[in-house]
Amino acid sequence: MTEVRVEGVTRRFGNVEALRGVDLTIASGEFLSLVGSSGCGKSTLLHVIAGLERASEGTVRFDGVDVSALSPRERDVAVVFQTYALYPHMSVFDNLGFPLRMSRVPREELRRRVRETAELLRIDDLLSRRPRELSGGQRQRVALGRAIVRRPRVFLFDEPLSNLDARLRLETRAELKRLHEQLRTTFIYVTHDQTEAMTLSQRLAVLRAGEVLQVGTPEEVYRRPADTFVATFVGSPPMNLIPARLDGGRLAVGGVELPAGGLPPSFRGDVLIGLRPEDLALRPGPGEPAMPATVTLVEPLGPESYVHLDFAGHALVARVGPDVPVRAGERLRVSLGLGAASLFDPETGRRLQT
Amino acid sequence: MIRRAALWGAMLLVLAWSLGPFLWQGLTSLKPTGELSRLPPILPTAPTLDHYRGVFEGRPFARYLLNSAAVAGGTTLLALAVGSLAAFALARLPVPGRRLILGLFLSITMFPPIATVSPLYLGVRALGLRDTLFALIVVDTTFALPLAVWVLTGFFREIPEDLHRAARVDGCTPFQAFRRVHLPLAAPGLFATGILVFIAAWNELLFALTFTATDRSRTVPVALALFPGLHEVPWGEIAAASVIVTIPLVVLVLLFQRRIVSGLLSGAVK
Repeated sequence: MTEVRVEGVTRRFGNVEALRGVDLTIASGEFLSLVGSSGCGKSTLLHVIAGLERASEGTVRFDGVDVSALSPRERDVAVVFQTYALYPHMSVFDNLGFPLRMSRVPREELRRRVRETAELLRIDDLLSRRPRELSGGQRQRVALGRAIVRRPRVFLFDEPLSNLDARLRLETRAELKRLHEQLRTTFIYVTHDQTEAMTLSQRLAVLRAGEVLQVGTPEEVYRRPADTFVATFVGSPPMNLIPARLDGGRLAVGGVELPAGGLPPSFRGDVLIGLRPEDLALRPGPGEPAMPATVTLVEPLGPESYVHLDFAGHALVARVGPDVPVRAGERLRVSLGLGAASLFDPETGRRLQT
Repeated sequence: MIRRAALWGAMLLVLAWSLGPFLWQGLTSLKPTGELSRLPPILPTAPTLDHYRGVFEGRPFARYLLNSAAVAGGTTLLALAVGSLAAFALARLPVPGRRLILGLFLSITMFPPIATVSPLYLGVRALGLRDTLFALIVVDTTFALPLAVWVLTGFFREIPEDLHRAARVDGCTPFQAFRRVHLPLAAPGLFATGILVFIAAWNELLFALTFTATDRSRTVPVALALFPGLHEVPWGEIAAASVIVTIPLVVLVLLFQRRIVSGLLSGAVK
């Protein structure tokens, strides 16, 4: 159980700043995801926390103690790599036992702990195999096992699921969550997959261009995105953004005026309205404010459908249940569900509401 | 049809080009002395092993072979030990200016050895190492090292960086990561480099000729150079000796062939 605190960490590679003044606290025993598109600095941040790379500026603290100058070995962290990084010349047993051998754990205890870990991950029948004789999923488990066997202070995951096929990924995802509940250790998890981040973690930190844009629970980040990047990065399909004018409690959007119901009346001027696809309602009841739109495309997914709409020249996507009959080309009325809308400054992209 | 014929023709030409001199030496070594400078016959009419016997008569040729083996073996071990450490550091450790260092290594390989003979001779003499195998091992190693480091660095770079990270996270010091993870994985590269260094040291003549004085430390190439007598050149014996010297190399290469091939391939394919 270790609290990890990242304070003002900047990491430069030549002239490139991979991380810019990152502040982040991961609570003891928390499962936190670092999420962002490739090149956002999330892996670099993980390496800095692991001690694989030094921060150019700033400090990393474990339980308040500055570990910035310590090696990964001294920090007592475990990392699961995207490539698994199993030692190809060693058996599964030796791969699992390697970190224990390096810390001079007595032979009997090593044997016992390797067995325990292998049983926990159901790879105890593979112990004599070499990594090249394993399937992708089995390799993944060995990589996981090599991290677990040491009982480290902090677990770090660098996109551990991205080399698995879709089904295995779902299974392993659920297993990771169970594992965290069993071990109750601090988990820091890097992924570019926002679904993974949302489903797995207690909190997530969204990064872009080396900066943390928002930290919060999946609900907070989803419902109250800090800016338009987070709004469109988290959630699939992404949040709809349409430009509008807000004046005296009325909202002018695409040539029509709506009562800005649910929106705070104090705002005035140009805004971007952010609407989640599930907040749009097709063919609302007669009492609700609604606007005309044209269906351009329907994507049925089974339990739900994505309906693409053209609303006064703006493209919108609505998420509707399977029993809503819509056809491409159809004209219908849409309720924008403004009560749940986010408002952004069109210049900075920042969220306007508190 | 024509293309196939051309291909076969080209193959035969390359084969004759690379194997021809060796075959010629082999044939010469078996010819009776009377047929040595006559053509025809191409093939010896009465093959004889006289020249092979002659090689070992009147001179300690077995000793020369042992000296060569010691020099080549010692050079190979020393060059691999030092070279692999340097290559690992250049490939995976945060060494400042590693591109410059590698560039320097490469430029050193272009340096003509003859230019260094006199200063090296003075150094060897000053250290009292003249006419010792040790001096040859040290000097040959310095000349083998740049190429060895250059080639080995490539092999160490092929080993995924995540493996190095994993080793560090699992608690390895840099040396432990080298010994337990990188060295076993670079084995094909070590074999391939080792063979190259061994062959170079086995055939090395210039330094061996300069730094040795007696049979105590003479190597085979030196002995061969000293074969010609005052009045005649014993072509048959020279041919026989060169066949004898080549055999250990061929055996060595055959022995490690599979490892070398996988080594050469692993340098080419990701």
